[in-house]
Amino acid sequence: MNAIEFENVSKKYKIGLKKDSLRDAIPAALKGLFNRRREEEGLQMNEFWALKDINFTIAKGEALGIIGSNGAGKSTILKLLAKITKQTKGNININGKLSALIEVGTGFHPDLTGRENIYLNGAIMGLKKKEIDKKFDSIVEFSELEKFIDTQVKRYSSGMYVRLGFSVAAHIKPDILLVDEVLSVGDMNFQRKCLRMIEDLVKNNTTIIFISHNLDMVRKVCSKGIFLNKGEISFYGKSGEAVENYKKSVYELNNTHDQTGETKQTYIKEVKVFDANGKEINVFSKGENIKIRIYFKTGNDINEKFVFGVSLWAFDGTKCFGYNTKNDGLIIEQIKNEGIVELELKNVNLLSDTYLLNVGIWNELVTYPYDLRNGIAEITIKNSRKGVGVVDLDSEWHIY
Amino acid sequence: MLTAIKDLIQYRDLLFILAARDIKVRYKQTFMGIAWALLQPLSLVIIFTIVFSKLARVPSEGIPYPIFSYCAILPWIFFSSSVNTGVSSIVSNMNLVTKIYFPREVLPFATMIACLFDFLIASIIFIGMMIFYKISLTIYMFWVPLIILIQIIFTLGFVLLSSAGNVFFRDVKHVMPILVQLWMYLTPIIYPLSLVPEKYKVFYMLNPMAGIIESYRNVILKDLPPDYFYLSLAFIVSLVLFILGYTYFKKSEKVFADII
Repeated sequence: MNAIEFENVSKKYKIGLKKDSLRDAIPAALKGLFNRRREEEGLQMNEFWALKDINFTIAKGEALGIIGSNGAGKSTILKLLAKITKQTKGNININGKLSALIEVGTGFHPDLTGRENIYLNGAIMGLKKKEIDKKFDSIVEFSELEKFIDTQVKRYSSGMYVRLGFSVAAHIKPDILLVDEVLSVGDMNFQRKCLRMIEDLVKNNTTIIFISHNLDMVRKVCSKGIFLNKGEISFYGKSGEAVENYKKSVYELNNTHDQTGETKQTYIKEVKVFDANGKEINVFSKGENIKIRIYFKTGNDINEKFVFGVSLWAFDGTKCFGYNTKNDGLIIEQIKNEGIVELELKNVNLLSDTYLLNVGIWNELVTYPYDLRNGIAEITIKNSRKGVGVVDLDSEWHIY
Repeated sequence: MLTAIKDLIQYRDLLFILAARDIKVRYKQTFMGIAWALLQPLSLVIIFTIVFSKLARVPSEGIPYPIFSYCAILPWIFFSSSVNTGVSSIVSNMNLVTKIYFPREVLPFATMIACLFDFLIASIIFIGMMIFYKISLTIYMFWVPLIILIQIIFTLGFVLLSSAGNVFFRDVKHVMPILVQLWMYLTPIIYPLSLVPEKYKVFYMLNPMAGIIESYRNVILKDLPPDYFYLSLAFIVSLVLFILGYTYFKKSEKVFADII
């Protein structure tokens, strides 16, 4: 059975010119009497389509990522699903108990204590008082706020606030969960907790709709993806492909944008990862050499002394390293057309994980990037040693 | 309508938790705390007794003026504070309305419950006054819960209408205190109903609050049954307003998040 069905859904919004007071409304109403119009069809001057003819279905237990630039209509889809607002046209079918994590800590009242807010927040999210009673202890434990639970939340730090809000949300256990960008707040530790919770939910057959600008998270968490562009579905399919489509469109947009300017783009064509023998792979064992090759093209910025930068990140956001040609004492004199820059990592001592490469071409002062590509390539390290963190230092235990 | 009621029942815990929030927040960080619920009606009785009874010599049908006026002030404050806080109940919870779905009528209903709580607290003083003025209990007092119910239906209808209207036009919020003030003088609170000329009485009694307040006085102070005609009239007007208000509210709630 499908958890969610969208059939030809459109949503129209008004921009500006709100009639907030009666003084404006009365003349407008009188005007409306004389030239009637059909509410659903066509656009008035100050209206626009936030969503246009959206069609998709999600099966139970599937995770769908929605990506797109700001204003593409991502949040509007969530608001329609959460029944906060209503579509102008089309049908939406939802099967199952739905819960929205649109903003952590929605409805917290600053004057109430943590304890009181847990009940308030839980009730707002649709839990019964009895259910909250049952989950109360584990909510408090998860938030690590035992000491402050009877303190008014206005005395909380923003981190504590977020932790409490998320704890409540994590305990709702709905059939369908909507997540909007909440994972971008909070520290690393908190993000990891969120991610683990989402993974658990997916395993437990919860349907998830996930909106994020963190494309790699979308790719990892979701099986399906929608790339929204100006209120329309530009791609709907596997999440990895949706991410690629989105990246391509952002890239093309940047390119066309720059063609109107004076200079032609300098950009990274692609980044490839090779082993010591020059074979293109991206899975390595501990201690191997890794060659990262940046294929680039320069535009008319011929007087620029380009600086190339490479950084490596663990999936949870931990930065492993970041090097650039300038800091390493390499001065690159004018390059014409295209070329390759290679960074060879020797004897890579990292713990097992999948790491992401960020690559950039910068100006001489490293203040402005000509091109910056986050997560352009992946490197997976296989290491028999278990440990926390990213680096595997040559080490052994001694007992005396 | 039926699904709306089912929805509301499902969210009844939210209703009471929100009401508890309103009550707690109102008296947090105040020195007097919950005593404010008593002080507000009490100070009005003192002012009214001095100005209207002692200076202006307003008659009170042989009943001591303080209890005569308190019997009306108490339910009136319940009504006026419900209206004045209820009108902005949707707008002041904007962060909830734009982020989470729940039946929106929970918000005005919750503010009403919070005001009902204050009303019950302030009734303690009334019981004290009844003992002081030696008002004996009568069989007619069984009418009191029913009259309260009619008052609640009327107030809810009015609050549903005005709180939804306030989402579209913030003017409503500004009009309300003036309207309530005027309304008080059109209701037999500081003066007895007998002061209203007979020929205007039919129009006067179209105001359900007049019928309601007069009924309280009849059954508590005068040892009389309520005036059945006027109370039924008040009930019918209240019910019609409630249905109108509820329908309008449910119809407009769909666009609250877009407009607010």
